[in-house]
Amino acid sequence: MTQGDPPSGVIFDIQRWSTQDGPGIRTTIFFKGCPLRCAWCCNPEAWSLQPQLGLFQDKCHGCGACLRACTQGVARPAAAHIRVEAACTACGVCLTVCPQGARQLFGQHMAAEAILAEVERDRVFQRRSGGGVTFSGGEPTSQPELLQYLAERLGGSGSPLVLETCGQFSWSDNKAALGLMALVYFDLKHMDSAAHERLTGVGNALILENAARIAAAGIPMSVRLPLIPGHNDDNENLARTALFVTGQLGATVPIEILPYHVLGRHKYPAIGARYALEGLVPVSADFLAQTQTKLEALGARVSR
Amino acid sequence: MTTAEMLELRNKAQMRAVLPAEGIPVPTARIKRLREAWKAAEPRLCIARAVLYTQSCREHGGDSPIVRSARAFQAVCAGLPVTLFPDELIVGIPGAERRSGSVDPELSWQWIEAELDDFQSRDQDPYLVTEAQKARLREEIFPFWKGRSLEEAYLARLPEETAWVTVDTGVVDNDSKWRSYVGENTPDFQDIVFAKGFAGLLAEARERLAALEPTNREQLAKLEFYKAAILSCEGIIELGRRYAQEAARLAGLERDLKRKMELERIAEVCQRVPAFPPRSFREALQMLWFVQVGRVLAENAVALNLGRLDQYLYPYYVEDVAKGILTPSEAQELLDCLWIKLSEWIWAVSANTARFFAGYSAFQNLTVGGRRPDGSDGTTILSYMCLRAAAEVRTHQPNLSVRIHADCPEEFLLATCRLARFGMGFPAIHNDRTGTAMLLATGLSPEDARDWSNCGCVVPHSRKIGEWTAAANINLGSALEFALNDGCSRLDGRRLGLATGKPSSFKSFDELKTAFFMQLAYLVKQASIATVVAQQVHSELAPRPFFSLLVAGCMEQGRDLSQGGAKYNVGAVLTGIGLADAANSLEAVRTLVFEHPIVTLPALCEALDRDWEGHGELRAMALKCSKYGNDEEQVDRLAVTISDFFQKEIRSRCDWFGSPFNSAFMGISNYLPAGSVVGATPDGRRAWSPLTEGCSAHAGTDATSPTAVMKSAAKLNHESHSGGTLLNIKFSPGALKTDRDIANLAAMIRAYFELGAFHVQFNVFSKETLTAAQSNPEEHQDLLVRVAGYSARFVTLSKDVQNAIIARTSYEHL
Repeated sequence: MTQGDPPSGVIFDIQRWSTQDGPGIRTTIFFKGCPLRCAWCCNPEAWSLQPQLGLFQDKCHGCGACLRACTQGVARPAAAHIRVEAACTACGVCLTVCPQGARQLFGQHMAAEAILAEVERDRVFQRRSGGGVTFSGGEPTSQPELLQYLAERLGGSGSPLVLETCGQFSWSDNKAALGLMALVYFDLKHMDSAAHERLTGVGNALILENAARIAAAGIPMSVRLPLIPGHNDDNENLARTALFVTGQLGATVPIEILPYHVLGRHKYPAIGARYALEGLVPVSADFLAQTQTKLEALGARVSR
Repeated sequence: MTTAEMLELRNKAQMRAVLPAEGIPVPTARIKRLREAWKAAEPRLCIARAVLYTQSCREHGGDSPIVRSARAFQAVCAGLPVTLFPDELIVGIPGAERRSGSVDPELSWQWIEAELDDFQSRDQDPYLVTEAQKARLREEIFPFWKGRSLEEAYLARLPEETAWVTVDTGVVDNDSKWRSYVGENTPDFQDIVFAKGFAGLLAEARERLAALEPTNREQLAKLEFYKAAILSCEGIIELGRRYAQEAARLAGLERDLKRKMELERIAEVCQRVPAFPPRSFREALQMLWFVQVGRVLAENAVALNLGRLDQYLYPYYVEDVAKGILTPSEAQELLDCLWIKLSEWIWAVSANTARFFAGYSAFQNLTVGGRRPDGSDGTTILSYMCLRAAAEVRTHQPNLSVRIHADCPEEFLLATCRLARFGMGFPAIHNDRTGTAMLLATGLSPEDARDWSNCGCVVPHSRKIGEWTAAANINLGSALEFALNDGCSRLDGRRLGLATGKPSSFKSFDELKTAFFMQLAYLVKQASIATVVAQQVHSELAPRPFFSLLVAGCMEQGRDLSQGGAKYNVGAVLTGIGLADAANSLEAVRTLVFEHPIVTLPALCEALDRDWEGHGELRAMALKCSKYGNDEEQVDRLAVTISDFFQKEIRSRCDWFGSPFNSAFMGISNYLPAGSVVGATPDGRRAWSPLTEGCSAHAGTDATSPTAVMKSAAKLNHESHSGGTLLNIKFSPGALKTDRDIANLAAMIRAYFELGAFHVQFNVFSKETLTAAQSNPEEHQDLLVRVAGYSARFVTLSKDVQNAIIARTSYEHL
């Protein structure tokens, strides 16, 4: 992208001092919008491509300050408590008056230049630590023009760029941005396409194809396996994952297990969504270690 | 290769092992026992020094003040009980008990008399005191000092208006400068104390005295100075001799052969020092400790610093190791012994002062790392050993500071970060270059400026300086309150500031800002007056003969430290408290009253009068206005403007020595009492709650990231505040777990210093903090916790998630 106006997009967070998403101190840009609907997702507020208003009922005291502030007249009280109405435009005015901090705006339109300015703020820390910028989400490839623009603007600065992706994207739309990445964290959620569709809403054909393309293009990658007890932790799936990674992507590509946790569950009611895995127990440290050992026995390189 | 060079290489190889990457270093069994004994001992009031000092003054009423003071010091050294405790290798205590706090009635006896019955029961830093001690103080000590103390002279001389604004108001506070001695001193060990010994200094004073022709005022003053110097040397030499004698006596009685030999060795060491120059690492350490005991006996005061220990002890270490008479682990144990000693004695203070300097902390600063005077890196193996001593002894003293420069060994910075991980708030991490720049601005030569060490909290200091490093605190929250309240305090309605107009009179934000600066300038003026009067009274009534032996310039000029005898007289430091609160409040007024007018200034002030009662929504909006500490330009720029104005105003006046005052934004615990006299502020802060220390963000408001706090703080012009600047940052234990976390922390420090800032220290918060945040989220908006691969603000998480994190934090905490 070299012609026309710089793009803009919907971003739901820009986190400074991010230290878990690649080397050094990083600024992570969370893109809104995701083609998958993983049942365990800990960022469900990132699914929709549009900004939306969240309301945390456990913090709401029903004081009604938001009602008086609402410009659309839609934040009216329900029977027992205040809720977000469909007509809400996510203007955010009610946030400023809520004394409980019960309201949160998920996502806002941002011009690329504004995003770059935000990245610039921590440049001194990125430079000193060998860090850089991580594109995360949601799914960054769901806004390919913005991703490519940012990657091109940031690519020459010497700060390593990192992408976190679910793999469900158009190769031709994202090829250029991918080529600028120093590292791609690539999720492999299930090797069986039907099971994948049951858990995430889409099959895995395109995902596996894109994984192989990234490997073939020589872009450094690291596979991430979200470990969901009873859903993808069976020996067969582990074996197929290890085989695919070592066989199709390369023997040196590491697999990192992301153990299932419930720390995003409270956000589901805030956006009016239902949590499908209610009652599922988080992965214990022991179980995590056992699974890592199993993968290693299958010849995979596990990053612990 | 010379032996010294070989040793240097071997030391380099050993450095990494000194503070290992994994686990907590474990001290020797001896240190463990000493530590337990220290913990078991309760702080007690000791009146031995007061009794001996008073007796001497009673008997020598005709002496000049400086000779009277030195003679009393000598009497204390000769009469104080001499006590050795089991297991000790370094000996000497400045009191009758292990954890003694002495009082100096010659400075101030009124607060002691008033608070005597409450010492034991007060909340902050209580001391045990017996009925017999109380009776003796009341019958024998206080009556003698009535009408003679420095406090009385100070209060009698203080201009009425200045007294109205500064005495026990919390608006301008300098009570530690007229209820206590000054302290705030760094001895010159390498070029004076170790080089000459006190016998050498005694001979020098005698020679200079003999050479005088006391025929004029100046020569007569020198005569008194040298007489006092001789008495002071005799005093400290006598103290050492008495310890040698006692150790030898105990060795004679000792049945345990190992301890008997230890006691004999102690006796030998004390026969040598402090009279003569030390010949070994052990003797140098014991001499250092005698100097410390001497300083405490002369002045029960704060900030009796130890300077650059890793520089001046290093030659002794190298020589002893080369000779084979010292091993690294023996050196470590001796350093650990010093750490225990530094934690034992108590700086006894009034209840008010205890609120400003909480935690029995005597702010004995010890600095390691940094450049040598010639600009080369001065990190030695002792730098690492001091970090290790802090980690394995784990006492609240000394205040350990490190100097980091661009090409300091990465390993030293990583060791510093690993120590920070233990969550003690140590070490205080300083930017080498900025410290040097701060001192260059006060007139030090480049060599001396590069040789800086810390005083007390974060004041760049030197062994060649005389300086009041914490002369007065100025409450920026009060200046703001006065601007919004026509010069009156919301606490009691008294007009302590200037009448700059009622809230309704301000037609623009600039008009209000002007009023704020007028109030601030007025408080600076009052603080300057209070300081100059205090310095004048000290120069007359509180000469410092023992301290004057320790600082370059005094002996040569025959002039006491309190008369400006030091090589450099650096201007007294006035500290601003509540920079963040002032900036946040001005920003809130700008936003809510002038930019998007949703409330008038009188209506906002009415809400402040009621401490926001009935104004919950307005307060919610106030809390949501931009806050300093989040790298937001407008509010940060206000903080810069305020701090620059403060600095210019302060530098425009000179202290009693004729040196321009210096500004500082440093810490101590002064933000608590300062907050207790300031009503609600426009930034949403509640009445009487704490303000903010140094150039930190107000607790709970730096919600963006630690890097954003650093960016905000680095916008201040640190090098122009020669009294030091301080930044505290909180971390969850989970954020400092892995080697990668430590490497990132090191990078953050380097980046912060690259931006020109001066100091940062890290607190690792506990499970209890998180529990407190659950019940009181408002004050803990800043707690960042690692959730799962990402960090989130704790208060924004649901109760379930919070509980999960609390459960996890209990074992994360080291």
